[in-house]
Amino acid sequence: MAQTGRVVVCEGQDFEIREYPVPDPAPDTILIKQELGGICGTDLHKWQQKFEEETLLGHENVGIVAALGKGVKEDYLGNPLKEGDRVVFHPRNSGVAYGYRGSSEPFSGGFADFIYLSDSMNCFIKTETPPKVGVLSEPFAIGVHAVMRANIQIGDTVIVQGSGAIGLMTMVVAKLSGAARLIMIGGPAKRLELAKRLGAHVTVDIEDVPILEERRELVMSHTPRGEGADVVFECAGFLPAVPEGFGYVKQDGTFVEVGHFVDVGSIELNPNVHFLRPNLHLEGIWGSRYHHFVRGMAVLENNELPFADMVSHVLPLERVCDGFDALDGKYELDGETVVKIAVGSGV
Amino acid sequence: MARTGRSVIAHGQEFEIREYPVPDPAPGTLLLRQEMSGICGTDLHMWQNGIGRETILGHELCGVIEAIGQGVTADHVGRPVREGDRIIVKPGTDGNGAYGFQPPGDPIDFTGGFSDYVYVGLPNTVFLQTEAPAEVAVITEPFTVGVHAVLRGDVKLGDTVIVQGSGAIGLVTANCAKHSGAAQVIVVGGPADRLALAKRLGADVTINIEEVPSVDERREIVLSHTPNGKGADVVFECAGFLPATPEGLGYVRHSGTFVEVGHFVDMGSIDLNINQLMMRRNLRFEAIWGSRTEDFVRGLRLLEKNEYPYGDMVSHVLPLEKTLDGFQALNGTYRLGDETVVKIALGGNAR
Repeated sequence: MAQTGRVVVCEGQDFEIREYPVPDPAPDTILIKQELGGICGTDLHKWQQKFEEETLLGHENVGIVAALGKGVKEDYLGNPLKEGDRVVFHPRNSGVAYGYRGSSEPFSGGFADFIYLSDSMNCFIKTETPPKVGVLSEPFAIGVHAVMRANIQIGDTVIVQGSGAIGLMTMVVAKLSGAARLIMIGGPAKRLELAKRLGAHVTVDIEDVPILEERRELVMSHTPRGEGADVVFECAGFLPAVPEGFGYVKQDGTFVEVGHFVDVGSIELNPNVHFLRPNLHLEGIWGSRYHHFVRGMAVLENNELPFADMVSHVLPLERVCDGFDALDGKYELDGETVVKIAVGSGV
Repeated sequence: MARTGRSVIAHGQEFEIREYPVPDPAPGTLLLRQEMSGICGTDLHMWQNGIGRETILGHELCGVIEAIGQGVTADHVGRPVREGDRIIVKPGTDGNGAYGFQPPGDPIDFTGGFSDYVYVGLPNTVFLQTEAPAEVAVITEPFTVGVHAVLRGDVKLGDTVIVQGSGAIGLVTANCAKHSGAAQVIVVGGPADRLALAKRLGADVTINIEEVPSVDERREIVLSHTPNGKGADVVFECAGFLPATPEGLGYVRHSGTFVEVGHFVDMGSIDLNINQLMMRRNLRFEAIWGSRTEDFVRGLRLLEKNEYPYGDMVSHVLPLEKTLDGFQALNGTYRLGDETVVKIALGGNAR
């Protein structure tokens, strides 16, 4: 291809758009015309800590097959694939994940006009879902992973800490897996309204109840006999949320850590009080595997809930920086509360 | 009965022997003549912190049925029981208090094992008849903690397992991991005599923390015994020493399991890095609080087969008068007489 395409390159905390020639896909690889790429909490945390080298972010993507390398005839599920089909892909491959590589591989991230899946081992799935649903496939797979590891059972009371994208998706997957009572702790108010539309029975706004002891009393009052939840998911990525969350687990219950994808330091924990006395079961969730992605896509394609409403903003490539700034504090952009911000090449 | 019997009353850090009238067992209850009762790490830690109210300690206990209350014909699994049979008791009773943690007379006397008699009179008590010798039967309760730990840790055939701590809980956990099919059991602990016993109970490798006091050096040696140096499938923290928790989390392979079996008593807090120690490793973490009835049913049958020298875990049997000596030995030197301390048992009839 003689074409060129734009790529957003991040260094330090600066974003720069550059033009690169678009490659022809080698055998067993594919080239995708980007439709949407989500900004993830991990991108945000890494950006807050500043990039030492030029990095191409964006690992949550949906796009249209622009060109297929020799030998690529079907998707990961065995469905026939051709140019023009919409696909989502899992960022894991045989090398460094897509969305985390350097500028020597110009189309390796999702904040670009094209995405080149240059490794021979890829997991991409053809989909009919609208782009605003497809763009959720990667974070949704993390929710699937978290809920499967938590072993949610029918009728469970579930508490989710954090009403960002991961918190909302984890809550949705818990609901679809049989949880009967969903308590979402987070903020701001608009995110909690969305949580209700997605199935939360009770929402607790941390801005309304900033004092830990009061919040604890309120949250526990919504659990059976005030004894805590069967499963607590920590999706806030905020260190003090971890000991707070341990306090919400009932005896013999489960705590799932889905928040700290980036190292934000240590927090004091008491092994006797936090772990042993509740006879705690804890799971730490690191990303997702292909099978979580496959299951998650099947759920998203059913489209039984207003998944697309989680995409609060779609920005052009030039406004990536605005998206990061909004996620870095105020959760407001263009007069709207931010949930998931997607960047679109055609916007 | 007009007889009396002795109980050791613990308060603060003092022990006092008192005499109480020996009860006739009410219907549905049993009176045991105590044979042996182990001093547990929990007892020790409570004593170190100062025991807040008068308590009859001793929740690891075995004895012989002295008198049987009306209507008691079988144990929890249906084995018939009669006077003269040896019995072990699960200390927790689901809401009716626990043997070894009650004040005298609340609600009955002789609720702890550091006594001449044990009155198995708390409602809903689980007890099991056994043919195991007393020095093996007395290990049952700590052994069930090991059973609980390996079940929750889900130890599988061929697993590499690391056990931190070579006290009684560490030793039984290593043994239970071996029973569960672990191929490489690595015990990190000390002193040397305890590690020698760990080997006889099934450990493949032992690492003496006295010889390798630096955490970094120890880490290198411990990991060198795991596949590709990448860590163990399951790590059991049985030391009850706060810095052992972050050290042990660092011994788990990616997607492996960490089992916390050490901090039965509140020893305070420690800084843990949630990203490095829990998330990045895709960790499964289980914390073990005591043991459950099923662990007693499973564990006692294993002990009765006596395929390992379980009785050797009881390093000392002391008379009730020497309770304090036992606690002092566990509180630092790990020596009593000329022997390294492992499990100290108090015997109602010991001299």
